[in-house]
Amino acid sequence: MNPLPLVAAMLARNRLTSLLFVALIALAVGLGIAISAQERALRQGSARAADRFDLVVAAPGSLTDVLFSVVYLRPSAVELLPPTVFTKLLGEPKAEFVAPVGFGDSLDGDPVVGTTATFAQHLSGGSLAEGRVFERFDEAVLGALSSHKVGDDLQVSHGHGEASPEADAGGLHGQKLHVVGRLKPTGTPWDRAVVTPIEFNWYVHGLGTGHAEGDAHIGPPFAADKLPGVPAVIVKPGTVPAAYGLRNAYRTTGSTAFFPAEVLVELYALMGDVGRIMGALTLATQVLVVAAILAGMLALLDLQRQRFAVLRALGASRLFIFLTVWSYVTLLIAAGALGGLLLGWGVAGIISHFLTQASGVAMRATVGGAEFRLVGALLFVGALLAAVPAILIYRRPVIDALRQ
Amino acid sequence: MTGQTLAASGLVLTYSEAGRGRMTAVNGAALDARPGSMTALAGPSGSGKSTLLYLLSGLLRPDAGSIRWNDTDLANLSEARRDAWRRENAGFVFQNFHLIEEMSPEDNVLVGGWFAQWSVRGLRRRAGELLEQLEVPRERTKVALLSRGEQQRVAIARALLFDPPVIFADEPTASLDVAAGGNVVSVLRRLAGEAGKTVICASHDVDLLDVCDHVVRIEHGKIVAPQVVQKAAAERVS
Repeated sequence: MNPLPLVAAMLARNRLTSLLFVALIALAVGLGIAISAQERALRQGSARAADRFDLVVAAPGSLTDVLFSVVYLRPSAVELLPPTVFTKLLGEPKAEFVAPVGFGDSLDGDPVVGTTATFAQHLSGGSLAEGRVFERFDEAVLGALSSHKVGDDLQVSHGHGEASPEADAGGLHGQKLHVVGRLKPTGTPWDRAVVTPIEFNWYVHGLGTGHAEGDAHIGPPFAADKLPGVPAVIVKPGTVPAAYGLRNAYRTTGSTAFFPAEVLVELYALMGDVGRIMGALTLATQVLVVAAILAGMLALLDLQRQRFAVLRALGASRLFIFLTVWSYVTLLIAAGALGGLLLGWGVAGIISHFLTQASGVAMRATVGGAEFRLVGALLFVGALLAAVPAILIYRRPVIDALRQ
Repeated sequence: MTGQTLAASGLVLTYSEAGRGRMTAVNGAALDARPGSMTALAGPSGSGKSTLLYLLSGLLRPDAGSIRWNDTDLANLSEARRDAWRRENAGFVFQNFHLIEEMSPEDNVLVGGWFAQWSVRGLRRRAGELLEQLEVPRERTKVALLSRGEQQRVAIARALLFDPPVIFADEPTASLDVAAGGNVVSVLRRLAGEAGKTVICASHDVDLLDVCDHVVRIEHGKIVAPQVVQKAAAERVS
């Protein structure tokens, strides 16, 4: 028994209607796949971006704000960590390095971030893609995706938009920077940043350099009495126990310390709840679309009941009629589901591209187990529902249809 | 002519009709259709001739009576076994051909092959020969592009794919013009006379009735003129 030639004939006969059904299912499935794949891409991208920020120490306040400022370079008003705490951190034997980060400037809309050469190198995976790390106060390195070139001389602006003289009150933003290197891609907004010595950041904001006058070196050690407050400090602990020890030690009334993953887990939990609700809604939408399409299909197949009656008269069994209708309906659902998988993947890829452009967080939408399970569930439900028109059609009285 | 006779006796079929209660569609019909003969079920519209044809072919099951084919009584078979009987022993030709328009003539002839087999490769030659014998163009064109007479001949080829001993035809000439109808009549006549098949037609086409060996006249579900033997039918058509 082979119903496929008859299925092919039905497809040819109902070409446009079949295409419409497939397109509707594909749209419904694609929506679900896009949401699911995009949510995962966002999670993975944001988690990957935070990988190199082992422990963040900042002034007490919103951990999310600090995380977004330090890792994702989102401008936000955070309290400054007192110099005393920073000084104490610099003396921590359990830390491989301690790197302050300072914000507040931009260049052509891209952030300018001050930190240490050690952290810049750490962020770049130990070595740079091009040139060398900064060694002087007025040198800088570029993020991997920065449009500037090594060798350029740059002049940064205060704030995050157009510079204005008022905004630079008390600052020294006329200071030029010479680009000496480019970092490797990090998959973070730091890829678009101009990374300068922290001393430069302090200097252009009129806060000194953190060193005694006449001392031209950059990075630690700093002069404790010359240090300004900093938005946050990145600490690279030597060991895992050291990481937990430092986190606990700096969770005090004057400071807070956290692993970025801790904050992300909370955000993911919230996103997960939303994701689950969205997932349930999209699955419900898909089932409703399939049910509506099945109703339409039943009407369509009913118009062809004479053809099925003729097949019965020619000797086709009820099973053959059932298999023909079931295969036709299931094929449309399967084509729609697979089309939806590709469509959703494509849409998620496009959204990821734009989100990456907008946020700097590298996101790559992939179709994984969750999406295949979603399609599998729809195929299973669809195959079961396809039995409904198949049963209704094969039960139709043959003679009534023949006499039409 | 040797072979099996399709013998019906005492066939009764009733049905319910809203407001009119139980109605009788066929009332005590009996006939013997022998191999090599052409039998017509004749009568006005609504007389029950098509219903009797459906009973004889096993599409309907009678409330009473028997339809014997060798040792088998079709009236006692389940629907699935009647389907199988029809598949193995009968071909069907309809007034409106009922071909699958999206398929080629050859694929239409092969349709019955898909009911029981995964591949019909072995039947393609047979389908081609049938179309050739019936003078149907064999190009891989859509069947809808054929003339109505050619379409009916494709339907006859479809009925003959497995060389069944019995051919049922329900008003086979009613949708055709005189020339095409005459062609179909002569094909059916040859199937009975030369191929030895049992041909049973429901028809009120006088040209077709004229060439039948037997004409069974039905009115209101009852046979009013049973098994009239028409002499030299084969001679008239030739």
